[in-house]
Amino acid sequence: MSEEFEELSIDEEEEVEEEIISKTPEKEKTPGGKKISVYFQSTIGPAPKQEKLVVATDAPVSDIKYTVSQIFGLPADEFHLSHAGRTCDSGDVLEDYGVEDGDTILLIPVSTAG
Amino acid sequence: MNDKLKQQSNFFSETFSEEETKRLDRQLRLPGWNQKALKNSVVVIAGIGGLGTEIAKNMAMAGVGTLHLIDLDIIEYSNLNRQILFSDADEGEPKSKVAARALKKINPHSKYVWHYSNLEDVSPEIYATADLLIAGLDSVTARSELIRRAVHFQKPMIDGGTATYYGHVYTYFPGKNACLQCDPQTERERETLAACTLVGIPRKRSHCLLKGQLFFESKNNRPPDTSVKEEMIIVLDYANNLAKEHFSEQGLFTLDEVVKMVDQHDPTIITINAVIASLQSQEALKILHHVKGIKLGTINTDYVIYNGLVGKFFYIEKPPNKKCMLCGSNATIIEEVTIPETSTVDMLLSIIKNKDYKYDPECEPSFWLIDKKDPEDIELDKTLKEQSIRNFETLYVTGLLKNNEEIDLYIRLKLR
Repeated sequence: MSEEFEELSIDEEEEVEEEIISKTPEKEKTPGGKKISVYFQSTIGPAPKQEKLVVATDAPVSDIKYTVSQIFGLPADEFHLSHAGRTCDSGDVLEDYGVEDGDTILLIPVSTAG
Repeated sequence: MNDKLKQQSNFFSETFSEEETKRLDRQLRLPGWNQKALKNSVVVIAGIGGLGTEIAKNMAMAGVGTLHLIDLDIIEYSNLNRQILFSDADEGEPKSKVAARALKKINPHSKYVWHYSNLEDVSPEIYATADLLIAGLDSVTARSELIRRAVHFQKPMIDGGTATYYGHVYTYFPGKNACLQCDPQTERERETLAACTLVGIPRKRSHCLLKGQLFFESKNNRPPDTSVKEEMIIVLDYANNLAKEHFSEQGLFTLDEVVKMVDQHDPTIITINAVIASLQSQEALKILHHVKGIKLGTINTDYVIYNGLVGKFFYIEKPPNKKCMLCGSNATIIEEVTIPETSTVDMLLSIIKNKDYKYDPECEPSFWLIDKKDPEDIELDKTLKEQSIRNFETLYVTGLLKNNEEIDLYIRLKLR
């Protein structure tokens, strides 16, 4: 399943670059907002995993978590997304955290038990 | 030989009895080690559970002089798979008390002070005068309570936590890295029996299990007992009938899933617990040297994640958040006031006015005691003593003006 997705993400990425860099004028920006490529890297799970995915910067963190949980095969309530030392709150959107093209977002454990 | 060099001796220090020196012999040989620094240290361990018992055991064996053990819980059988200081016989007794007793046997040369209490009701003086705070807590709320004390009293705090086969260690070091409020965490959401969400067709697969539980409760007027297999089967059958109907592609529930849903607790295992507690302990020993001006290694200011399923560590840098409401540049100012406990709050306010604060004519100043579990109203015409205000207590004051601007203020009281 993840391989399928990887192929899909590469297609999307090419499309987006064309759109933003050359052809599409600013006002006709896709309604979904700016798209960037981000590396998602798991610190949890039975095997380390990294996926390069194209994401919309105005997508809610909760939506991204939901999708990423399926791609990584990890329950969404078992991890937080973490960017540059900040934990992304489910109610925010990705751009609230200044995520830029090429950045890495970590899947970190919700380790609150003592 | 000069005096300073003599004082540095681990083997001939007057601080230790002969017996104690013999007991500690192997670690006295460690390069850069200073046993006296540890002996003179005071450490607060908040939460005496999986992490806390292990950390307390390590601190005691390493010869840390004074340990404050804080926990509001009693011992349950389910603690015994990982909580090293407890045994079957102790069930129902306060964790902090039993831990102190067990530690005294492990190393009788240190002092163990137990507090069967939540964090708030422990005297603020304990936090203010400790060298280091260590967290073995199990909730985001309790961690917020501890980090506020760490930031306000400028104490390092070593946090740790586990989740299944993973864990984290993070040392807040004042002025060096983020505090826990720089990057606030949210409590994990649990599936709960909110009846309103359970009316009609189950929207989520997990709701089938909750409905099974509700079914049992409606028939028996009590929750199902997870130790009785027949009762779990009743819940299971009900849940699986619904699952077959509405979520057939996702398969059926198992008996173990029912147990875990009905009695929700975080899964934990001694090994992950011990790794995290040991990492916290090792950082603690370095910091206790460090705060006494003795350089031993480097304090790790990164957020460390351990994944026990792959045997790997991950490190995250945590720069301070300038906008943090607790430690950032906009954080509420703290004014420290030294005052006899027989003074009234009115007299205290006059002292504050001398520090260039004015009353806001539009609203009377109000006070809150933020260190207490249940904040009480403070009365102006009563003394601090009459209102049981403790040494190092923090008052939150609103309704003041400074340079004609509204300002909130923390007043830290040092009683004399």
